[in-house]
Amino acid sequence: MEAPDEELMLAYGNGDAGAFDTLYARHRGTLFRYVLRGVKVRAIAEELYQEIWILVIEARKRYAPSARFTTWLYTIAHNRLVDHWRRKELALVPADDEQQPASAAADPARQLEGREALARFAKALEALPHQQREAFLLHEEAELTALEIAAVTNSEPEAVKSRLRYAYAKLKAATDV
Amino acid sequence: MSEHEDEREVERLYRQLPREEPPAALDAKLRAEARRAVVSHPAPLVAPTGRRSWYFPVAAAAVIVLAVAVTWQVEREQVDEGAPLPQSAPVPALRKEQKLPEQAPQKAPEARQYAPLAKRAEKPAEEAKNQAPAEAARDQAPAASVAGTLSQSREDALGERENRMRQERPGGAVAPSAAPPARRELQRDAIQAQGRASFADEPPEKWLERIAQLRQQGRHDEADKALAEFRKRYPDYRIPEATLEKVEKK
Repeated sequence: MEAPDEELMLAYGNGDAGAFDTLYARHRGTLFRYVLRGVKVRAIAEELYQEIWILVIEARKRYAPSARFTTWLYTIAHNRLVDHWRRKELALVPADDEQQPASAAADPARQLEGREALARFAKALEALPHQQREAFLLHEEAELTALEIAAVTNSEPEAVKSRLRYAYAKLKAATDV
Repeated sequence: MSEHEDEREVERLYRQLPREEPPAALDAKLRAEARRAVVSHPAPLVAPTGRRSWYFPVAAAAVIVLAVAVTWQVEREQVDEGAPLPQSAPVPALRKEQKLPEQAPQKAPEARQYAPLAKRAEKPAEEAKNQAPAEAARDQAPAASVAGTLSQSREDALGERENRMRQERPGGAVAPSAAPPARRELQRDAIQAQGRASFADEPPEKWLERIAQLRQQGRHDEADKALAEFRKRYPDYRIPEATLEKVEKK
């Protein structure tokens, strides 16, 4: 049976570099896609992704398994992304923006199938308001529950559930046209 | 189609999107960094011999000189801060702030609480503008004299208010048992401000300062809880050594 993440992180904190390799292999893809789809520019995503792992490495001795490792990791990632947006002076989408329809949903390309439907889906995902997209990615990529997403993003669980509902509805609408 | 099926459909489409991954070079770099972090041990402490035998005495002397210089500097700064200030220091640009106590007396205690942090943190100008006016004024030069003048004028305003209340009271008698009402009001506000349990919306520095205050007041349970909450919210935040001493239980 594979060792749980929390055990691996504690082992790494105690000097076991091999434990980090396993942990890294488990989370590299999902974390990278979460960052990439959050910032949309690959070069920036790579830079942020690297910084997040460096923060994990630096925090190895402070790690205490009070919650799932995934929640801890994505809290670091979320904080780093928020810093990035603040530094770039990109306004975070306010909560009342959740009523806005996704731009892709208005696309009248009804006949397009297959690859085009997927392209529409990708566009709709990009067009989602920041908070909805983040909730969706944390749910789909990191497989976090609404409660865990609320802890990571410092939000109310009900707000997270609402963001997820809107995100799914908009993405579905974008593929139905 | 039910909501659940809709979600399934969205998930299916999401899984069909390209599964981007970090470049292999970045993977290698991060793994190497992780390894380096755990294997880098300090060099063994072996006294050099022969021509290099002077290394340790010189290094020790340098450390002592540095320690004495830093201590002396810190003490001198503390003396400067605590020195009595001229009450009528000429600060023409700050007349507006000097009227502060009458305009917003409720804010004063809170601004006073945050002052040490504001000095240490070297806040950017924009942020300083958003702080309470008294605090913003304190960040400007000459900081010490401004703080002195402001605090003096606050005291003056408080005294005036007390005198006024005494005169308004029939016979001019003052209740002997309690502190003056205005001062009591200010004290109550300060206690309420300190006792606020939720720091979640505050920046990490302020949050830490509140924890340090709780610790100073001997409210260790609250401080422990707040520190645990802080670590949960900012797992990657490196608390400076000096602050750590103030916020952690000894």
